[in-house]
Amino acid sequence: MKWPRILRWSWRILVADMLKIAHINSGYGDVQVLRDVSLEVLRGEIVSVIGPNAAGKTTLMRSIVGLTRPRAAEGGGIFFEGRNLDGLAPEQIVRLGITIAPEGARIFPDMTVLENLYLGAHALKDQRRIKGLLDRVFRLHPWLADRGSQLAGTLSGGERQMLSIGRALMSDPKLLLLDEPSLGLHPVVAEHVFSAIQAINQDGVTALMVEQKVAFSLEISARAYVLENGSIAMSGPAAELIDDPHIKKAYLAL
Amino acid sequence: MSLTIQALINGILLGGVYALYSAGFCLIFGVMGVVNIAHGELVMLGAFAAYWLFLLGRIDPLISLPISFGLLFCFGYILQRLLINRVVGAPPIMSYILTFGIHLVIANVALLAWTADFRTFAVPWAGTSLTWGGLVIPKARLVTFVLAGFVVGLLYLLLSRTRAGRAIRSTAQDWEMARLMGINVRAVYALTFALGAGVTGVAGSMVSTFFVIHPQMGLQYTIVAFCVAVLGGMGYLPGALLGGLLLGVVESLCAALLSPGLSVAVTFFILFLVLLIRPRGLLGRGMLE
Ligand SMILES: Nc1ncnc2c1ncn2[C@@H]1O[C@H](COP(=O)(O)OP(=O)(O)OP(=O)(O)O)[C@@H](O)[C@H]1O
Ligand SMILES: [Mg+2]
Repeated sequence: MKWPRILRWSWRILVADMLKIAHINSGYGDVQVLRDVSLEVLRGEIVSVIGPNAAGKTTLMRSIVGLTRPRAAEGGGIFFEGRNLDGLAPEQIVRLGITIAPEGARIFPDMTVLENLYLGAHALKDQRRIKGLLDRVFRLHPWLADRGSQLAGTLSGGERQMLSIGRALMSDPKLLLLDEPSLGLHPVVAEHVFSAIQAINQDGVTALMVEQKVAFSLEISARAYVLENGSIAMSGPAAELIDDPHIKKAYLAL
Repeated sequence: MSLTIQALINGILLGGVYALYSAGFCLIFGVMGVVNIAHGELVMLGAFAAYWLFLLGRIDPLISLPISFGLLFCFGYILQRLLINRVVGAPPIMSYILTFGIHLVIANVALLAWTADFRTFAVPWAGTSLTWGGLVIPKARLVTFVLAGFVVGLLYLLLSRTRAGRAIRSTAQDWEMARLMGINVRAVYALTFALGAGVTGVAGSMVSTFFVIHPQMGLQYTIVAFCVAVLGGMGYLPGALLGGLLLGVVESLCAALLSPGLSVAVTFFILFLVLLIRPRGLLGRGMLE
């Protein structure tokens, strides 16, 4: 059955989840990492994924953007605003409105800060819109404005992370994926990054965040998932998880 | 003394020739990590394009440069789309095997089509030289030298100043992240190879005005391009200019002051030293260690 376009669109925007992952497996070659993972992100939320090293958090992020091909059981898959992402290339997926600040920032080191930011907006055509997005990034991280011509490879770890998030915002995303945005950062800088994420969220960007600094991330999240050994072990509102004995013991060291 | 100066001039001009036909090789390696063993065949095709256009159409090679560029650009684009895209990102041995195969096919098809004859053709202006106080500067080589600087400069501007250039550089640095910027890296690779092939075609056309051409000429050009790339730093474009000049000057001075037979030996000795001491090229800006 073919729906009239207007119905299809309004269904996507009003009813469907921003992101719905249903029963996917994923991995590299023969190595299976994710097993039957399901997860959803609603419009406007910040959702956290926490879990120990090698649990498959990065693999989950890579699967969403299509860098690692997930395999879904019958009826499963990854759906963005109701649209199945199966078979789409990463460059097509990001054009739908998903973007990622990957693990370890992965800015382009031999390019200037400004070039990195413009690359974030590579898929956009409208120069006025790009200018507006650039202003938004500069409002979030004012120091970036003065460093436009600095080579990104010479930035400090914290600066790289902020540039990476800024670059991601330049595509004007609906959904922002963050893979350990506080990795290797001093607590004070990490806090700054977290408050930036909160500000971005209040600006209307939905976020799915992988984090090891569990107390921080639960604090700003609406809900959270616990990924252990490639499967979802627990999930629920962040406020409940923060008091859970297992979480306290394994992740908050209390 | 004037002999030495003349040798130096010859070397610099020869270096321009080397730089011009190595720039494309450097560009292709720098962006996709493919060592293109069929590079010399692109030189050969550019040379034959100029040859036939002159013979059949009476078009001066200088005028036909844009045509050579266009032909090789299209050829490179198709080659990349159909074949070479399959080995980008694969272990290097795969690209060696594939481009070696392409080298054999092109060289042998050309041999069937054009026979093994050695060919030259006389463009009136290209045979003449400027002379000044006993020093001789062949015009064709001077033009090639200027063209080398022009082409490398243009490529550099394209890479550093344009949107397409930005896409190419980001792909070279981290192709996964480039895809996440919405860049179609297959298209970037095709554009890069097409550009590299195009400027190499231009180089081939210029070469045909002062060197003998034949279908089997390619391999020696590939070897020189490889040496130039190692000297300048694998994949660092301005390094092609430096590497080319250095190679040309060393070769020419050796031939004039020591013995022509020694120049190859000295060249390889320098290459060996560079690989040993500065594996990222003389400027240390190459992408391969
Ligand atoms: N490219 C790859 N090829 C093969 N195996 C991989 C690859 N990348 C990751 N793995 C494996 O998949 C498993 C999950 O890795 P992943 O990077 O998703 O973990 P993670 O939860 O992000 O861990 P961390 O907290 O350390 O970042 C690990 O056992 C890892 O060794
Ligand atoms: Mg990870």
